[in-house]
Amino acid sequence: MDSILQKLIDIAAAEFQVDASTLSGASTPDDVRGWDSESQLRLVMATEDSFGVSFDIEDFEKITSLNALAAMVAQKRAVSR
Amino acid sequence: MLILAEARIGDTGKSVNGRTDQESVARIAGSDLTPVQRRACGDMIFRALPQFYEMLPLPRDAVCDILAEQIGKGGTELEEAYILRSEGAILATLTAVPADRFAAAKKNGLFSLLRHVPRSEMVALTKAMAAFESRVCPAPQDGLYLARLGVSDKGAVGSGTRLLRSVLAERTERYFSLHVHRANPAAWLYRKLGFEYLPQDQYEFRCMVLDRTASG
Repeated sequence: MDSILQKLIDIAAAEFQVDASTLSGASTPDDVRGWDSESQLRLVMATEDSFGVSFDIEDFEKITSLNALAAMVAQKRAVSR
Repeated sequence: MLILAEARIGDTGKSVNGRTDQESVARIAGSDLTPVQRRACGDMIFRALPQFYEMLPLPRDAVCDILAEQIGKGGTELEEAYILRSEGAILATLTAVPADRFAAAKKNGLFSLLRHVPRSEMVALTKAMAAFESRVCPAPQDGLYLARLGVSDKGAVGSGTRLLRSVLAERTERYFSLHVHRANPAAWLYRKLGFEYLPQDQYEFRCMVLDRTASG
């Protein structure tokens, strides 16, 4: 889970154009400058590509923090195994 | 806020901040909106296609006002307009026109913008418009063409999707089409809703089509 989160933080830093050190699992759209609907879409697409998972629109709405996204990735990977 | 003439088509099922007020979707005519709301919608429509509207040699505010006037006006790309709102604030705007009338509607909308352009700018602008057109994939003429989908600055993530889903649920057409810029990540959402790209991929603005019979 920690390695998923670390990778997500790197992806998110690139998509939100912020320094990775400013992000954590607790980061939310409200406290990250650059986290808006468009960059969240890019985050989701990059996450799909990096982890080989697929999200649906309901998942998109549930991404309330990077921790929430990491948990979704972990769950999808567990199901696909 | 009281809107009398609108046709409310339903709630998105999302409660706002845990309160009982819910987001709702309504089909509107421009006259249903207050001047501030109309302007907000005009701004969202601008933001849905900035590559086009920014070509106009007019202040952005002026373009937004002209667009606001077109909302709900027959024969334009904004003739069928839907909004998603919460407590009087409009979070997203979607406009549509029957696909077989899209070409004529586009021309009408363009003319109403060009009326405001200084004559001296017209030749250059007409050339720029023609060049723009060559970047846009031709759209099919079946069903409903979704012309603009814009969200407010403060639009919560996903508000545009919720509006689009409500409108798709309300409409009975088999086919829906739209254009999306190839760099616009919203294409991800459209794909998840069942839209598929037309094969022509040489265009900057690609066309996506939803065939509801095919997708079940």
